[in-house]
Amino acid sequence: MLRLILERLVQMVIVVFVVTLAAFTLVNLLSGDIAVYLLGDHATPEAVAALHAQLHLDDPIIIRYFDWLGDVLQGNLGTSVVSHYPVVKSLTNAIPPTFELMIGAQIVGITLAVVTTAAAIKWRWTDRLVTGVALLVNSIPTFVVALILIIIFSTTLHLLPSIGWVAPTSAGGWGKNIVAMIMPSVALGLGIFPEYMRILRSDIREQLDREEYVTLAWMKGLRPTRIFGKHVAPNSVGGFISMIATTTALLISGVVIVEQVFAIPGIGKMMLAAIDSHDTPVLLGGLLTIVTFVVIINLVGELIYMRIDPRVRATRVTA
Amino acid sequence: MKRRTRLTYSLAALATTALVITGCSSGSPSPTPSGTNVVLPAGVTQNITIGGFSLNTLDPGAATGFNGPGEAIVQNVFGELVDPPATPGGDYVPDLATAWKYNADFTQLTLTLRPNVTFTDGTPFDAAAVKFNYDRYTTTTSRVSQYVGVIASTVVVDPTTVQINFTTPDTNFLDVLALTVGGSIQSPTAIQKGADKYGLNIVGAGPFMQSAYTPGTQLDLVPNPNYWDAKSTHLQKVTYLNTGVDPSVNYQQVASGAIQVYQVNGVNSSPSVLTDAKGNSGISVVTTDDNQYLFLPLNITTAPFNNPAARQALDYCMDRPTLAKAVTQNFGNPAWIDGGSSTLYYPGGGYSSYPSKFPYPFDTSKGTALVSQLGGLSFDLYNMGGQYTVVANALAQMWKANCGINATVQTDTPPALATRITSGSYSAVLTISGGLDDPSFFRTFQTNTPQGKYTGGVGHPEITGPISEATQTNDPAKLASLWEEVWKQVNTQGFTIPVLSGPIYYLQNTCLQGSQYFGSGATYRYAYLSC
Repeated sequence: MLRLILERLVQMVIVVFVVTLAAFTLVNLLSGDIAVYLLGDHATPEAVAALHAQLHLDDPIIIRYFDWLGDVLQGNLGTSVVSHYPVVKSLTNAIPPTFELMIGAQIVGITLAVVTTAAAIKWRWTDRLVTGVALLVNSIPTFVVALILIIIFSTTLHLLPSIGWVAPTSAGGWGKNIVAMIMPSVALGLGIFPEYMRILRSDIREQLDREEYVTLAWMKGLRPTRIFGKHVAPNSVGGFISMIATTTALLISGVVIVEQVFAIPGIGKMMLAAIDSHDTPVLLGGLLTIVTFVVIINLVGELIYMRIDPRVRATRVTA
Repeated sequence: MKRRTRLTYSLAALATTALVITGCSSGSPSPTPSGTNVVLPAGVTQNITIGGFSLNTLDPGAATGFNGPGEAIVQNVFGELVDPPATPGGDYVPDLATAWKYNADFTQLTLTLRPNVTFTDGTPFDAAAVKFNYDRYTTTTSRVSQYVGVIASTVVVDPTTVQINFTTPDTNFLDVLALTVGGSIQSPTAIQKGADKYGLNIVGAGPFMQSAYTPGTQLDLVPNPNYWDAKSTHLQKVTYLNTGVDPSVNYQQVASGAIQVYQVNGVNSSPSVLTDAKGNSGISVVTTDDNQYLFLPLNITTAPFNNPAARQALDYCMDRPTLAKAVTQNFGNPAWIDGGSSTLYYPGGGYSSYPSKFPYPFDTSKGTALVSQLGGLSFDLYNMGGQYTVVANALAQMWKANCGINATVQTDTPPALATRITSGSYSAVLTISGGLDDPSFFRTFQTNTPQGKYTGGVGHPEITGPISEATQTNDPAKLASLWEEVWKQVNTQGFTIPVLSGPIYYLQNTCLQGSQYFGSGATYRYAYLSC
């Protein structure tokens, strides 16, 4: 197990290196001179040249990348070239809202998946209904879902706030914070629940319909809850857990949209603005955080999967 | 209605006009703030949130180009030396300066400062502070530098008297003080202490002071208890929040009460939001004068627009009223000069008279003939995306259908477009400007910006001549005549092509009262919630 964790950590370092190098290169290959953009209308060639020198813009990309990497290894993520705001501070502000949003979305997605799967298993007639609803939800872009939620629950019913972030340290505390996060979490969670439901339902059905141990359990007269809870569920959730870990990475794209709509000051919004203004330090700081987070989540998912399913544990540990 | 300015894009002021130049050359120290005598309703928390803002720095003197803050926002913190006239043509209103006087040839402006004023860090607001700021503004490349380029020196006469000397006569400098960030006086101590991070924590002597700021996310302001007119400030908190750029979302934020104000531009925003807002009784839609305009700066140094026939063809083949109806649903208007369509901007009879003076009115036969004479006309039309692309596509379709002109619509990020314009690597750009009431800005951009050489201002005395003259007189009749000549020449040469003009629409909570609306922004010094 320890060896696996170490292997994954080494892989994480490689992934972080490759992704940040690629991002650094791409941002710096974008057309447009950040010095001209920053200096604005009256930028003289001398001022542009001075800013180029200050930001080392004339150095080769690879040199600049390793300069950045060297600073990162010393714990220095730099400052925004646009606002002079420290990147660490930006991340400190942006991580909690994004983290909370992703957790909220996962709670919504998992809950809906479990509930709809249970309904589809228990009452066959609901199967098609649930599938239809899932298809419908999957077909509507997150942006539209978010807007519809605001129109219904904020503008019309005045039940929920349309600004999705209230710091827990502000007046109102966690209560206001959680209420504010309900709609963003639902908007994001609705997008992932259909996939969760498909995987979970398919795995459970496979166990129920094809596995002989289930038939044997029925023949032994075990109670359905015991058959399901003790035997079927543990054997069915492996794919589901892997899917949750994988989806965490995919959620980031949805996070960008939801943060925009609900004015949540998270990492997605921060990175979008950084791309728009070619703010490399901020963009790389955000990417570094996301990549690290995604790799860790996948590792955690893998460890949980191994813990639940000894067959997987045997395969991975001996591999 | 007072007016403020906000330069919204790099080439913006190239096409800026207006005749709000007043004859006032000295002020009377008897302000009548509009925020007094307001009875606030009991039980209403006087906090407002303004949506849609993304501020990367709060220091207009920072080297951040057009990323810097607009006048409407920083005025809350810095106040102003001089307030603009309450009505066009009226007297300027004393603020942090209580009186002012030009010398005979308009090369020197002497300001008398309000005594016993301090910045919110406790340091004195005095002549030395004013000098420090103008010395800084004139020696750095910043958002402010475009407005104060005419300053030769600033001299401290005594603690409450300061002289500003100009390199050339400038009758319009009071407009700079009243309408732009050029009137922002900041604490020298805080600037020196904050160094390159000063823009994260600004200090002024205005009605509000910064209480929290996260770049790109949120700015919170609270009242300055030591403001000279503190009794007129009623709001307890003003928050500028980045609610994103999508007008539909922001409209819903106003409709739901999450934010109290969102401003929509009449020329480059989706008209459906305005239609919805006008039909919503819970939202009041405040409309400014037409002061926003879309225009096409053309690069006249290279093909195809180094040929006047190509420039004329664009005009002949553009049906402006149809375009205004199609892309703005008449929330915007056709533009015939590089300015808004209100009479404020139009000399010689106002907007209704100007279409008839336009040298190349819509005429497809003339346009087609010119295109044929050129052997075809093809070029790339750059824009910043969003609704700009909608308008650019409509223009391209119109030119193609009417005259066979091939305009390929290309979208750039702001840095890419800024670089393109500065380096002259473009043929035509669809861009926006507005809110600038002062022809001196036009002069500045015609002659002083690096990109001016591509758009035709530099080296054309028929344009720069009357502009220069306009800065040496306060005679309204003469100003009208001079600016009519400027627009006539600009249109005849076809250096820039006017496309659409329109107002700013403020979608706001019906309880919000007392806001002051300016060219491209609003301030909340006297604002309050009535319910």
